[in-house]
Amino acid sequence: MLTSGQLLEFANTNGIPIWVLDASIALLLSLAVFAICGLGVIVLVYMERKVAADFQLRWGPMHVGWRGTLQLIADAIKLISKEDIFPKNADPWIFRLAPTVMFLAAFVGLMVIPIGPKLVVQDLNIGLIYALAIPSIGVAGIIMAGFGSYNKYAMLGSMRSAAQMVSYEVPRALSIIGVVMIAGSAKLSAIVNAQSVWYVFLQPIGFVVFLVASLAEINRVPFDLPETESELVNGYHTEYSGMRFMFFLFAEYIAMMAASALTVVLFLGGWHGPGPAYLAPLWFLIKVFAVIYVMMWVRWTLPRFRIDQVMDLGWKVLLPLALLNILITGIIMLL
Amino acid sequence: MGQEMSKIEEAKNLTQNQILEELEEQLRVEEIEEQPDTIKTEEMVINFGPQHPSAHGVFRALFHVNGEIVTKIEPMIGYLHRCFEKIAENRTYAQFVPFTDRMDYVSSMHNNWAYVLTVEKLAGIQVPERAEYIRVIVGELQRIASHLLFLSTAGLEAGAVTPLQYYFDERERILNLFEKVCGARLTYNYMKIGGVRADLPDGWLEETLSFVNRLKKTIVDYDRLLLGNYIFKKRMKGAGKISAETALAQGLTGPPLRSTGVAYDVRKSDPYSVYPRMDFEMVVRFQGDNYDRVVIRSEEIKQSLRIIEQAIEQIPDGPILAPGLPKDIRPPVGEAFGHIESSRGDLGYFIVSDGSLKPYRLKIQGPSFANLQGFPAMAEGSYFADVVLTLGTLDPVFGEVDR
Amino acid sequence: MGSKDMSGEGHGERMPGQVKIVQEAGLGYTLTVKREDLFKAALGLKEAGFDMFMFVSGVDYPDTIKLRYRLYSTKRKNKLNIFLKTEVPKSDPVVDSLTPIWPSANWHERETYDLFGVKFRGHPDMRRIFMPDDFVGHPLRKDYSDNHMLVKEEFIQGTVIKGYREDNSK
Repeated sequence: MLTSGQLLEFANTNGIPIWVLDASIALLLSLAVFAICGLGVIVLVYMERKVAADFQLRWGPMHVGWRGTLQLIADAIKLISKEDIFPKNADPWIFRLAPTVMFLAAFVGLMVIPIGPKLVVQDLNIGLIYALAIPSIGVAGIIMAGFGSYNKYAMLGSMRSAAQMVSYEVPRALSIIGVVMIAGSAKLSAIVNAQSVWYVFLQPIGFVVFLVASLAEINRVPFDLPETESELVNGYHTEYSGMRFMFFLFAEYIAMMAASALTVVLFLGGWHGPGPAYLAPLWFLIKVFAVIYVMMWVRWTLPRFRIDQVMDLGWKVLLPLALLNILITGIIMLL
Repeated sequence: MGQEMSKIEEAKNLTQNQILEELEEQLRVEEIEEQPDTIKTEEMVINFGPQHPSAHGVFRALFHVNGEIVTKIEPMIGYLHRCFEKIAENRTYAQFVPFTDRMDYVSSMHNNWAYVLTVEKLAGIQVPERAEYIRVIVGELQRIASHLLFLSTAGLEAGAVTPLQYYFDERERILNLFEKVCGARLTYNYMKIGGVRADLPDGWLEETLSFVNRLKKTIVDYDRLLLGNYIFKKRMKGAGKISAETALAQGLTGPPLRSTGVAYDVRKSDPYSVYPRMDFEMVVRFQGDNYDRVVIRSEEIKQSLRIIEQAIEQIPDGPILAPGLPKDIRPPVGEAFGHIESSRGDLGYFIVSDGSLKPYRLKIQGPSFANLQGFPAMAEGSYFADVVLTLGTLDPVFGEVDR
Repeated sequence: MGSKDMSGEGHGERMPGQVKIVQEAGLGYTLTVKREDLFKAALGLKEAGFDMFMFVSGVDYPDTIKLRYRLYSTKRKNKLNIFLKTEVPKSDPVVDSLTPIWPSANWHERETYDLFGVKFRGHPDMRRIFMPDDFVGHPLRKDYSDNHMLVKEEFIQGTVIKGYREDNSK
């Protein structure tokens, strides 16, 4: 293994400025995360379809590859080769930028997630705040998509999404204050290290509020109001097709991965697990996929809420619960 | 003269004053509108359909939306108008039976039945008893199939995708039974003037009975999965509410009417075929909201299962077609009206005969048409998401609305 | 067939003239009125408990269009159906609208207007319902022909499709 000292020496001897070195390392790491993301999305879409099929007494994809494993690649090729339809009255820049913004916001959120001891792209001191704040920029992408495509359904969908994301951001942020209080740090690796007992047992209310609010953040059933196919056709991505549509899909699954990874880091003990240390990333992945499975389970079982009920749940149930959680945590810590 | 002139001038002055006043008023209004600190808002009009995933066919409506609340609905129909009433005037009585399949394609048997019932009434044909029992069995199976489809789509519109697959599994079994009887799975053309087209195949009744026993158990599970769901109840209860008076005034029939507490079921109020011999209850609910309209269908499935069991027990042997029936039926001059309770309500046929081979006039009273008329009265003022659900709980089939 | 006088139902004085409810073989109870008396008769029936308007249908005869209204009572114990019959001359196909009595008559009357050309006086929204607004003619009339939809001969270059045109000229 290369150590940082060797790298510095290498740079000095060859006359490479340090910022180039930094930038290239960051680029390499991002590319690695991007590759993992792509692979993860493919696995997730396949998993989603198989889980759905299992819940619905069907087989799911079966024909392309062994038990339909290559179906996703076929789908991706289809989406890439499709015509890119551009609505006549759409705003050219906003319409084109929207999927990228949404994708980037979801993707950048993964940068601070530690998947093993020291296995993290950038272990920020305020990693927790970063992981909460950056993915919420995604709502800008949704609004851009709704506004840019010059379609009333898309507009309504994006408006709903904005209302929903803003109201669920509050209980979501409040629910993790208890975690920060116990761990005494907002650094994600520090939080994981502090978890000798998983925080899901110390913070049951916080965990539930965080999970529900996360479901609302990533627009999954029962909170998939921005893209309700029964009334809004397809919500904010009604007018998108082909490659751009694929980007939305991509962003959605990456956001799901990021949300469940954060849940694992905060409440489920991160990479902790039995066995030697090199199994840590494996444990992390297993936990992430377990959380994702729960999300899929919810999606394929429940109907969806109405917009006023979503708001009610956010402000009247989750927010008081999150505050109560902080209060209880504080009292117990004082005692 | 002078007085008259002054009157005219007065009138002129008056009108001028009025004009000035009006102008001033307009200016005042404009001033108010141009104040910079007030936000200008206007109603958004959303065009719903004719191609929309939950338009249940080719329904088009303009929704006037204020935020998330729909304030006004302007329904427009006619996108599936296929002139069946005109076609009927150019076909013989027997030739028109297949067309009735295409009317309400979700419960074709009922359309067959209502039509042949009316022609039999017009021509005075006595249907043999076995045929009547077969009609009751397939008719009730059809009602179950249609209600299963309804329940699955009601769940789908509320966002529950999974129950659809379970309901469709059961519906598929009914379609298989129908396929064994008449060879078709959707447009059956099974009933014939004077009876039915073919006798039941061997072992069909036993198969039906085992299906009935199966559905009796599974429907309880499905009820728990969909109707007992907390979110589903929360969405459905209290939405799209309509009172009994409004429902009658708007002319609703079938389950939407019975959900308001009005006991109107053709099988009970104007019994036809062998229904008087059957022991079943008319399901009536009293809230008149979306949830009642869904639950009433599930309860009706259970009643239909009871009817099928009794019919299988009672079915006699014998002919399935009225004997001595001519190939070209020429009913005597006159008018006749026959109606049955289809899955959607009071389905009637009104036929005028001039003694020739073809009907002089045929009018179809479609329950979907009547139910859809009450849609704005139910849905105006509710949330956009609930409007779609309300439309779904009316269960309109546009082949029947537009005919 | 028995006949039943409705004068004992508390609205006898409203009923026009010597109108009797007759039982017919195919239809059940029927009541035939002149078109001037239709609204009064309908009002009387509504007060007698006929609270549901099921449909109105036209039947086209050479000189007249006969109208059949089906009404139903959920309040009366015997669950009555009744057919209200009237006719309008083709030269002046106008009749009172029953929407003030039963709001559900709205679409049914629009349908009859669309397909038969019978105008309903007092209807709030007398537009076509199935056919497009610019449609010519009323398709369920026996004398309706769609000749006006055919492409005129001078526009067809080359051969005229003989059979098609002859069929439609009948």
